[in-house]
Amino acid sequence: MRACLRWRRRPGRVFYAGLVTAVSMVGCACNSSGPWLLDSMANPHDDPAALKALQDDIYRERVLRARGLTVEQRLADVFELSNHQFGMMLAGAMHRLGTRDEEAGWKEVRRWMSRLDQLHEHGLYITEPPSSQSAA
Amino acid sequence: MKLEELAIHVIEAAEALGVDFMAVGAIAAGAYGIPRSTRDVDLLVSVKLPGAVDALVDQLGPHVQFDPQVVFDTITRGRRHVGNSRGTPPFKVELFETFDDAFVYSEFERRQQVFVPMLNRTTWLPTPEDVIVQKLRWGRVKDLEDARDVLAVQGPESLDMAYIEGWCTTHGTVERLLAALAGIPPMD
Repeated sequence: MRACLRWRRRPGRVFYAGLVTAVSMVGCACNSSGPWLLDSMANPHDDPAALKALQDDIYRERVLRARGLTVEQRLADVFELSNHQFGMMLAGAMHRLGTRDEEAGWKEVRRWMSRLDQLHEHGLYITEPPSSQSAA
Repeated sequence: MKLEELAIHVIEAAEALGVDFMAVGAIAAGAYGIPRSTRDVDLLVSVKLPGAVDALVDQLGPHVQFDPQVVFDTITRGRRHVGNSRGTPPFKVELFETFDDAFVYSEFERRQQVFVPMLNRTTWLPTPEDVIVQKLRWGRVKDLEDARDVLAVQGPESLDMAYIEGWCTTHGTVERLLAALAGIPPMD
């Protein structure tokens, strides 16, 4: 697993640690520095302890990477990730619709986001002011 | 429009109107925790200046279409103005008004100015401790993950845990705090 960590920590932007981890596991298997994957093809989902260890390892990597960044760099990541996410959503929407019309794609993305809002905000907001509200 | 461009519009408008503010939500959590994507530019805005928040909503009109219906959250009862960016992508701007709440007073008093190169300007952020307290107070899945991430990245040893525990006791969220701490694996 240590070899995996070294492999994953090569310079370069990491957008999604889980995906990178998955890719790096394959990479390790290919270059035989992490033979556990090829040797056994063990599925960590079959072993709760192994699964927890894998989850912890992925999370630890994400935390350590974030610790290596300044506040300014982390903020830059938030903006980059957000812009990137919408680019991916647009591509997905256009693919789902079978269109190259970006406007149609954005319309679909808006519909998706509206549904997500309804889900995430269900029960969280009311339109009537509470009786004891006063301004700070 | 990119998210940072929208953020600049919002910050510039608030500054032009003299509205005290600080960025909250995913932007604040990402500054101290593990950055994640968001569609929102969320600001906590002071209502000390009468009419200023409405003026801010008007000022942002060319870029953001605000819902005329102001809503109140069911957890803290704070007022929220929600707007959608007029262009693409469909970002959101949420303006949370300050209100008569001891924690809101505290976090606003403790806010910190940070220079953000990507915005080429300074902005205001809560302290990491206040991000944690606020996220635990809201308690949605994403909030709890954000709180854990800030705890993990900053490290409890470098945070004012007494301050955090004090507010969590007040808010009845100590269990959430303990769960967040328990969810952090050893970093060695």
